[in-house]
Amino acid sequence: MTKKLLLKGVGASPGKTIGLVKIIISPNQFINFKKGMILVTKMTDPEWLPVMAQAAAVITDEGGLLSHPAIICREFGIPAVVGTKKATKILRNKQKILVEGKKGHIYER
Amino acid sequence: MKDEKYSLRRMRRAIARSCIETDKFTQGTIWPIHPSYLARILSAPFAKDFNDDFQNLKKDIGLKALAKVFVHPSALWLIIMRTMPGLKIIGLKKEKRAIFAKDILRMIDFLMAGNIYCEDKKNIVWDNSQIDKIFNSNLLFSPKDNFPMLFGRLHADLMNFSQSVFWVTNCAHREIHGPYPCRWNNQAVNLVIREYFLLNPEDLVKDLRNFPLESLTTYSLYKPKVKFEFAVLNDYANDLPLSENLVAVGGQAKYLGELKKLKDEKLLTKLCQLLEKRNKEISERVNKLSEKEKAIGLIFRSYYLIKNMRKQFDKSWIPPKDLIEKVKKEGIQKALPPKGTTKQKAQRFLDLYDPRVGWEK
Repeated sequence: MTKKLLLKGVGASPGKTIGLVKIIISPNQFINFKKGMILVTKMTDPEWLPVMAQAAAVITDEGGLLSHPAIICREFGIPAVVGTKKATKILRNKQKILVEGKKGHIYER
Repeated sequence: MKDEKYSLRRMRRAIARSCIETDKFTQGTIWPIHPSYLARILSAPFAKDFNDDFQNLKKDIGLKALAKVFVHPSALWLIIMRTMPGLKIIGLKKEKRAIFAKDILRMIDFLMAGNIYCEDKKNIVWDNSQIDKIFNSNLLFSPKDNFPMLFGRLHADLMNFSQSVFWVTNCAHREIHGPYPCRWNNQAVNLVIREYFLLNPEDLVKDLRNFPLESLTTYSLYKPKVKFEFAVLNDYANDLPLSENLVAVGGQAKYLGELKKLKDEKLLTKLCQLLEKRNKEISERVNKLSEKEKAIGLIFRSYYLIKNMRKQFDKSWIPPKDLIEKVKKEGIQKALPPKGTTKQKAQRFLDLYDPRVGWEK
């Protein structure tokens, strides 16, 4: 099956996972996030730890290899793609995607 | 004996590289406030306060003893980054700035071993005897079941907690060392040490009064196929999932006034929950602060870096009142400096290469 490449970013934490997108812009939306979803956001900070711990993968618009989402995801062992610039605009809630954390690629499934 | 000339040269290169590459690695929002927003207000007074005390202590006790006051090279590293622009603003001549830079780098050199980013002399794991000491300490074990994920969670919690407490100065209050190639049960492995030595700074964050966790060190042995890169101070990137490639792990925490080995799942879970709970409380509160309050918070954290040095003069580390008043009155300029080219960024630290201070002598 051919994979359609949706987005590229910095491969910040290795690993592959398939899941459903959940776009969270601010902490007051944390309640909408369910374990195993793929967290898509502009950027994370320490307040985001509880929701990151539940995520199957993390995708952010901003950030580099040593930014908050990158460091935390590597320790948790979940794939992360950061610095995509436009993930929150291109991806849609409940969209099924494949995240390749090492390459920094996001595919449609 | 280590060749100081070589060591200083390497450090200058490392600093120049860091200046150039920091943006590449940390692009994005710097939480909770970008230090550049305070440059106009904080740079000059902080550099002056630091330099005045520094020059006096240098005369009184010398650079070597002064270096010991800072204990960890990472604090000095951050200070040099913070003071160089301010020293220019207060009118210190280029040659004097270069001498200052060389002095600080020599102090770092007294404290560090090997790689400036991750190896100090205080907790040196530089030779095999030190590694044997860790292996014989009965701390390490082969992790089964939940342990690899639990240690990953602990490391993430610690990193996050440190950022919540110290904000952008957090890299001065933790150290990550390694990777040290060694053998464990006849298997080639790489040892990585993570140290968090100040987890309850109650004089900086009042919520941490009676926080039972003082410090924590972990030792992780990873398969050699995991590649680590220490690109900037104390932060590393790796190319393979850590929990899947963990061969052995262990550590100890100063918890409730006692040193406790990290071998028990219940204790590890308890420490994670403790860090997560406090992180949540602290970070939520920080995110609710106004821009001015965040700016004042950052000033406090900057002066906290020189707490031990000021203690030598029986001075409080609390920042000057007029500085705080200035922020309250004038606010901050929420603007980042124009993005320079690589050449311009390297130019910022050209002072470090000033030939008049005799770098190569």
